[in-house]
Amino acid sequence: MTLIRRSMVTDFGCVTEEQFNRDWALCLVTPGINLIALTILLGKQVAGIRGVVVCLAGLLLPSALLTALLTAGFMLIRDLPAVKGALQGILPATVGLGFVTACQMANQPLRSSYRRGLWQTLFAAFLLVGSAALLWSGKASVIVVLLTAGGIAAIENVIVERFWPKPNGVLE
Amino acid sequence: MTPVSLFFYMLRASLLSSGGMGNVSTLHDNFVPRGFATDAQFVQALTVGQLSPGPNGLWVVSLGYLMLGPWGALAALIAILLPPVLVIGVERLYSHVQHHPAVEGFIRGLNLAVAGVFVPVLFKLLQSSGIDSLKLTLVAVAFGIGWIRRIPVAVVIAACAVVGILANR
Repeated sequence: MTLIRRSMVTDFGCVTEEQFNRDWALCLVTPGINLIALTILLGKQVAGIRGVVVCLAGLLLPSALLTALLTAGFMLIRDLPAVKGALQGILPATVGLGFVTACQMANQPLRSSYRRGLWQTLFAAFLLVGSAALLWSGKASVIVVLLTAGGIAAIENVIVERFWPKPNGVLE
Repeated sequence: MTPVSLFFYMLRASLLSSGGMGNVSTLHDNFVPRGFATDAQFVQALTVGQLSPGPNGLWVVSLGYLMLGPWGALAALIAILLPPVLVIGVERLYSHVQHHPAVEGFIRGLNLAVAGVFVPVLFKLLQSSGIDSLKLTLVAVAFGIGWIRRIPVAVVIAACAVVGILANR
C-alpha cells in the first residue's frame, strides 16, 4: 500500500492525498482484499475500465503466478525430512504472525469504539471475545457468528444513536 | 470438490470478510471438517502467502493449488478478485448510507467478529500438530517480532524453519 501511495500520489500525481485517503476508507468497508479494491478504484479514476484491467493485471498476474509456482515447488519437496522439520517451525511462526493480523484487524474498530465512550468500548470487547468464544464452543459456524455479530452491532448502534446521539463535533 | 464448487466456497468467504486474511476462518470452517482440506494444507498455504509478493490474501491461490492443482489456483484467484469489484458500487452508495447507524454498526460488528473468530482458528491450526513448549515459544517470538515490524516476515519464517529443522533432526 505504501508503494502504491508513493507512486500514485507523490511520483506521478495521478490522485491527490485526500482522494487517496478517501479511496482507502471506501476499500476498508468493501468485502474482500482491500488492496485489490484500491487498485480497482485508482485504475478507474486514472483510465476507466482499461485502467482497472491494466492495474489489476499489474498487481495480480506476477504475484499470483509466483504464488502458484512457489506452491508447486513446495509440493515437490514437502515430503523431505528437512522440509517436514522446517514445517514444524513454520507452523508456530504462521500462527504467531496470524495473531498479529488478528490484532491489526481488531485495532481500528476498537479505537473507533474507544472514542465513543466506555459503553461502546465494552460492547466492542464483548463482540470480539464473544465471537471467538462462540466459534470455539463449536455451536455456530463462522458465517453465523459473523452475521450475528454484525446484526447485534447494527441494532445496538441504531438504539444508541436514537436515544444517546453523539454531540456535534465528535469525530468517528 | 470441483474447481467450480471451490470457487463458490471462496467467493462466499471473501464476500463475508475484509482484508487478505479475513476469510481464513470461514474457509477453515468449510473445508477442514468436511475433509476437503487439511490443517497442514492451511498452514502451508498461509506460509506461501506470507512469502510470496503481492497482497497476502493470495494465500488462497496457494490453498486452491494444494487442493486442486492449477485449476484450483485459478478458481481461487477469480473468487478473490470479484468481491473487491463491489467497491465501485460502494463508492456510489456510500455517500448516501455511510452515516446510517445500522450500516456503521454492522460494519464495526463484522470487523470485530472477523478478528475474533481468527483466534480460535489459529489455536486449532497450532493444535493440529501438537502443542509443546518450543512451539509456544516460537509463536510468542513470531508474534513479538511481527508486532514491532522491524524484521521482514520472510526472515521470521526462515528463522523458525531453521529452528524446526534443528529441533527435529
